[in-house]
This record gives sequence, C-alpha cells and structure tokens, in this order.
Amino acid sequence: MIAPSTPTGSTGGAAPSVATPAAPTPGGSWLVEFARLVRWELFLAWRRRAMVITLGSLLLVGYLLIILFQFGVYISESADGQASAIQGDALTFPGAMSIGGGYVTYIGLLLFVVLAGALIGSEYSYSTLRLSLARGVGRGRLLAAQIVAMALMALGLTALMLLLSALVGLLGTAAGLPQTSATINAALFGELIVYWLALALNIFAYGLIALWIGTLSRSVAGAIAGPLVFIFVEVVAGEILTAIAAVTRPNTLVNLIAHLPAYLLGVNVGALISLAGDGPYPLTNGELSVSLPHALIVTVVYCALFVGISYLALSHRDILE
Amino acid sequence: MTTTVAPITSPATAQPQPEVILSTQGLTKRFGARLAVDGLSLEVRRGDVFALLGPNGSGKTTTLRMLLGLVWPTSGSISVFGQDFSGDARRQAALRRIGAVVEQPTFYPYLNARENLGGIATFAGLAATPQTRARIAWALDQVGLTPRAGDAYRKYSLGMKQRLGIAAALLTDPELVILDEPTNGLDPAGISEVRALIARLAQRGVTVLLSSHLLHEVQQVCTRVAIIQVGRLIAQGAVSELLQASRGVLLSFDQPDGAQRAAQALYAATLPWAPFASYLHEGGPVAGPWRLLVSAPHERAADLNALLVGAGVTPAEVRRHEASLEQYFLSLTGGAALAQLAPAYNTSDAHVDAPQTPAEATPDSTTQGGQA
Repeated sequence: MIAPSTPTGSTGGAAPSVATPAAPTPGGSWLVEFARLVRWELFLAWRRRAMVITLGSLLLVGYLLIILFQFGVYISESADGQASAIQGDALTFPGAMSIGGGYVTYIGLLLFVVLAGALIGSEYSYSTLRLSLARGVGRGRLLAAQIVAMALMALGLTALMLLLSALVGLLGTAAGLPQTSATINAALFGELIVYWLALALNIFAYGLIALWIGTLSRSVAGAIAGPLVFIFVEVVAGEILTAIAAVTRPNTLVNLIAHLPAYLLGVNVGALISLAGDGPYPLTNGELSVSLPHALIVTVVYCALFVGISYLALSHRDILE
Repeated sequence: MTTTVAPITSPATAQPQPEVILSTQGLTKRFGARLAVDGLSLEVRRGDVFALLGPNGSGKTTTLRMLLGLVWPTSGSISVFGQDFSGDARRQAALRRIGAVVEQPTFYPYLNARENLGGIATFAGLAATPQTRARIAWALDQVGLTPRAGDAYRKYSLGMKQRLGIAAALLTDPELVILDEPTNGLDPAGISEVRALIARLAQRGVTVLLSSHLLHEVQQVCTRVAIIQVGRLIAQGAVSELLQASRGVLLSFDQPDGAQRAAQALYAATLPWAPFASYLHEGGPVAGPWRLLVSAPHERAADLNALLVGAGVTPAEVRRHEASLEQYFLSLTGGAALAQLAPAYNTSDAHVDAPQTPAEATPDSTTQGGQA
C-alpha cells in the first residue's frame, strides 16, 4: 500500500513509520561521482554471488589440482632419487609464482571473460542500462566505469592468484624443498609487480572483447561466447598462418602471412608476460617472438579498438531494452 | 488535424502562464521505415499533471524515451527546464532533476529494493551518506515496500515492481516525474493509491508527465492531456477545456434508421451552431437505441428537437451530453483505440456533410470491440 502523506511529503496516517528526510543533493566532483560508479560496478560483480562463488571455486580447485600434481611429480622423483632443485622450484618461492601466473594466463582468463561477459551482457538482458542513462549518467562515463571496474577486477584476480602462489611457495620453502637459488631483493619484487601487471593486462584485454561483443550483441551469451570464440579463432589462425608460411616457398605473400601472427593479440600480450617474468628470476622462458615496443603498441591498439567500437555502438544506440 | 484548446481570455484578465519546463518541437523518430513519432510538439508547464494518451503503438513510450535521452530523435528538438536537450552536459544535468519510470520498471534482479535504490542514488550522483539511506527508507515507505525491502527484486510481484519504480522516481525529490503506465500491474487499491500519490506530488508543485490507458484515472488526476495517434499529436490542452469543447446534445431514436435520418436532416438544415455529429452505439449491433451526438450548445437542445420533429424524425430522447475523457479520446482516435480501451462502447465518426449509415458503421466497430 502506498502510504498517505501530507502535501509537504511527510507520511501521515495513524502511525507514520518513516519521517520525510530532506532530499539529498548530488555532491562531489566529476571524479568522485565516477569513483562511485566504478564502486557500483564492482558491487554488482560482488553481489552476483552464485557466479563469483562458482567461478572462484573452479579457479581455486583447478589451481589446487595443479599444485597437487606438481607435488606428486616431486614426491615421485624424490622416491627415485631424481628430485632436483628444478622440480622444487614449482613449489617454492618465488618459482611457484610462475605456476600461478601460467594458470591465471589461461584458466583465469577463461573464467574472467565469463564473469566480464555476464556483467556486461546482463545490463541488456535485465534492461538495467536505462536506470543509469535516464538518471543523467553519460554513456561514455558509464562505459569508462565498466572498463575501470574490469581493470580493477583483473588486477584483483591476478593479485589473488599470485598471492596464493606466493603462499604455496613460502610453505614449500619453509618445508625445505630444494630450489634454484633466488635472491630476495627489491629487483625481484619489481619483477613480480611488472609480472602481475602483465598478467592483469592479458585478462583485461580479453575482458574488453567481452565488452565489445557484449555491447554489440546486447546479450550475455554474446558477451561470454565472443571472447572465447576470439581466443579459439586466434589460436587456430595463428597455427594455420604459421604452417602456411613454413611449408610454402617464400614470396611476398608468404612473407606477409608469416608476419601476421605477430599481430595477433595473444601473441603480443603473451610476449609482454614473457618479458615481464624474464628476470632477475626466470618466471617465464623469456622467449620473445616480437619486440617490447611492438607488443605494447599492438596490445594498446587492440584495446583502443575494442573500447572505441564499444563506445561508438553505445553512444549512437537507442536504448529500447 | 491537431486540436489545441486554449482558454479565450482578454489581455486584461489573462493569468500569467506557468513556466514551460518541458517542450518538444517537431519531435520525430523513425525506426527504419516505420515512423514511430511524427512531428510531435508538446508543452508541459510547471505544476501540470500532464497525460500522454494514445492507443498501443501510438508512440507514447518512444516519446518518453526520447525525453529521457534513451532514444535519439531523428529530428526535432527537446527543451527541458528551459535548456536545449541536445548537448550531453545539459541533457545530463536536466535528467538529474527528473524522476522516471519507463514501461515496466526494471532493476537488478539479484539485488534487494534497498540496494537497487542505492544504485539509483549513485546514478543520480548521491553519496552513500546516512541522509541518502534515510531518503531510500522514506521512498520505500512511501510505496509500502518497507517490509519487503530486503527481498531480492526477482521475488517481487508485478505490482511490487511497479511500486519500486515509483519509489525510484521519488528518490531525489525531482521537479519533473515521468511515469509510463504507472498503474500497470496494480490492483484497484494500488491504482487508487497511485492516483493519490500523483495528486500529492501535484500539491507539492512537482510536475508529472504520465502515459496511461486508464482514461478514467487520467481524467481524475490530470490537468492537461495530449492525445497522440500513429505518432502524431491530434489534441492537446487542459482536460476541462477539451471536454468543454466536446459537449453536445445527445439524441436517441427507437428506429434503427432514426440517427441516420436525423443526420441527413441536420445536414440539410446547415446549422452554424451544430457543425458536427457522431453516431454512438452502446451494446451489441441489435440491442439498444441508435444515438446521435450533435456538437451543439446545450441551450440549443430544444431547437434541435423542434427541427427534427419538423423534419419528421422524432427523437425518443433529447439530453445534454457531458463528454468523458474516454469518450473524447475515442471520438478522436476512432477504431484504433476501440479494441483495447472500450470494448463495450463503440463510436464511428459521421461528419454531418457526409452521413454514414449505421448499418455500414456499426458492424465493424462492434467487431473490433468484441475482439478485445
């Protein structure tokens, strides 16, 4: 029942339950309001508890299985008297970080795009986009808030996995497992931070594909399937192009084809991760198929394209949902 | 043709018009080949309870979406609070002063009412302060949702969702409230409460723009209306003035051809004070008398009767007719509105200079009504 109230808005009737408070007025700078929007986007992700718990559980269980596998390999080789520092590195600090990093690069990426796709696509499937736009939130600002929230989630997810890996590694080190000597110093922590940022950039870039496809398709299914299809096509295309270049007599076209994989997103963010974990402690194999500037430029161009297309689509669209 | 009824007052006695806080000029929206809104020019003044009326698909919701910046106009302009709506910054500033519910309210289904209103507050630029939380509690209390404020939105009935939509519209104490079909899904008590709520908003000086199919409700709460059909404005003005213009003399006949003969007699007489007439029929095609509504001043009822008796067409009943908004609406929108708005009351326009036989007019109208 809609409560009666006096003309001034205060609740009337026999037992007014809530007094009329003064209407709050908008406050804060553009940046403060933007920060509130970002926080709201993060809150929406957090409140999708079933999804967060499911994806988080999958992530942790998968990681635990890998650690148990590594531990099984170590025990098996110890029993044969063949266990060496190299086997121990996967279970000690800082070597264990590479297991966590590799895990988040592939499995974390898949789970992240599912979460990002669900969040972006559901704004359309739930028809909630109009809630913000009809309240004066600019379309560009809304998109920017979604992107910043996605970046923070990417940073949080990778940080969580790396911290978990560090914990596993410290336990392994404390247990006295053999390991390659590593100097714990500022340079190592610097490497870990850059490694963390590169890992986060990897899943963030693919999260932007969820934003792009989700905005274009206006559906959860599209937003989730889009990045997964992109990854699949990218891997298959990379292999096919490489194979063509390898088996065909060199000419101008083949040379061009041979260079195309260097412009795939995965190759370039992979190169950034590889470079970030290359030293002083070798968390990655350090193999680079492209240079650092090339990898950075291509990755930035991809991200800019995903964001730009999403913005153009959203800003020109009629919100009919 | 657009009918705009304005009060006829001399300059000396004219009252100052309230500020126009929302206006559209030639507002047009085309979706591909379909013209949804066609050159709509509206004017909503401060303090108005303004109803946008029209059959389904007439462009009401598209119009409201354009006013909220959700749909981009193909052409035309919108001015809100005296500011052109086309610039991003101005539009966003104006929207901060508007509370709205468009179509069926939608919220995040996994959040509860408090959390959803918290989101609305965030979108409106409000900080999560105790004052904002108190306002959220107040808004929920206003619509009677306090006991269910902690339940997830997906568990709400349609009526509760509608109430939450209204609470969201009231949250920031807006100067203009836009409600699209606010009584959808509400039971009769809920409809009455929404009517009371709108009246309270009007008393507080809040301007209300609503769309509705419930013409009886609209007539009770609205001060001004605009009627649109197929995207075009066909009438706009104060409710009282529109109804005043559609008053007339209602003639009833016992014979099936009585109304037709009367229309022909009036046409032949060429009366300057009775320029139009409409056939009215209540009930099924064979039940009840034929009736003719003549747009003539009430004081001319006796003259009309004398003229028709002289012509050999004696009405069974002559009485003054006070049109309801529903009748006025139907007379303007015709058959397109019948199926959804008035299954038991059909009308077919019959201009006096081109009389139409009841036999031609009725079956179609009745069929449409019967299908509703």
